[in-house]
Amino acid sequence: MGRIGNIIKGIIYMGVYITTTMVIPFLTFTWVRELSILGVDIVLTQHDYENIIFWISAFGLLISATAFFNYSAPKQSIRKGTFALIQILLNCLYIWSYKFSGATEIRFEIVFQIANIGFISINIQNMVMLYMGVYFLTIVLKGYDLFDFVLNRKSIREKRYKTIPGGNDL
Amino acid sequence: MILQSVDFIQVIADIVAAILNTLNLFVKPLGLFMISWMEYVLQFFPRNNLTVYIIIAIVIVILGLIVNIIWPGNKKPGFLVKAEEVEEKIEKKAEALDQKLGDKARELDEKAEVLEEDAEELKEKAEELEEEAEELEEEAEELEEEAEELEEKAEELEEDINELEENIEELEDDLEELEEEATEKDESKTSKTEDD
Repeated sequence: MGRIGNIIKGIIYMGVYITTTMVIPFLTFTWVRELSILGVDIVLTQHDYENIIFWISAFGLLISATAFFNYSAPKQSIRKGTFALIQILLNCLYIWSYKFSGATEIRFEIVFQIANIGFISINIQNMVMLYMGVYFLTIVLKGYDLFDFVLNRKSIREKRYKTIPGGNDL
Repeated sequence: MILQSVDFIQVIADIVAAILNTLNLFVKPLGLFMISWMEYVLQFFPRNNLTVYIIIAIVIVILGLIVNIIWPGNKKPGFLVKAEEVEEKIEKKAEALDQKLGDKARELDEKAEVLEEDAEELKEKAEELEEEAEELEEEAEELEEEAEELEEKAEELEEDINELEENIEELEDDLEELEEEATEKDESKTSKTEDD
């Protein structure tokens, strides 16, 4: 794949990451802010909302940019491995930003037409912890990939540039 | 209705809790480690200033563009280029040698053909010469025979000449005798006449 192909690939993946890390969460939180399910309101204060949107935008931008670098890099290259690792680390921070911005504590307020009965608060911190554990394994895998790319650089390049099946940089 | 939905949420929460409790032992320590380093790292991330992130993102994208333009990854590394050059040189040399060998083989074939032709011509010439030699030999034999015949004839002629000379000598002798006789007769006649 030539330079134009790489750049197009990077742009496509950047678009995907902008959509999944910024646009969809932004729309979701905007929609959730004033959502009421079967009369149950989900309480999300203006401060929480702004905080969440800030961190979503901040990490979303970094993730999308690194995704561009990562996916536009040639297959099995050191720069791809490096940016894939950086992207995973940023993903962790992105996920964690949900926690410290308050998005992991969603509060359902049960309101009847006549009287406010009470509220249910769901703390999904444990789920985030679990997710982080999974991410740790992903980081280990990406680290191994990078290590592999650095160690076997010569053989990878030989394989890439020789006319053997699977050797082309597609 | 609301109570029913609360029950449903409770069921989901129970399921999620069961999964979390099962995986907690293995994954939670890892999660805790992750959280510890992330909390440390996040202290350095600016809050309430999105411009920094926008600039970093733009820099990364531009850097990615530049890197991809300069190193698209389809250019062969130096060691492979050198190896290919060496291979090409070897192939070229092999081809050149093949060509030279082919040319030489052709030249040799041509020479061999020419030599064969020459040999055939020489054979033909030799055969012709042999034939000519045979003819000459035959002619020489004939000539020798003729010479012998001529010698014999010459000898015969010499013998004839000798005989003829002898005959001439005899005839001359006869003639002399006859002349003598004639003179004698003349002298006798004259004497007679004188006597008379």
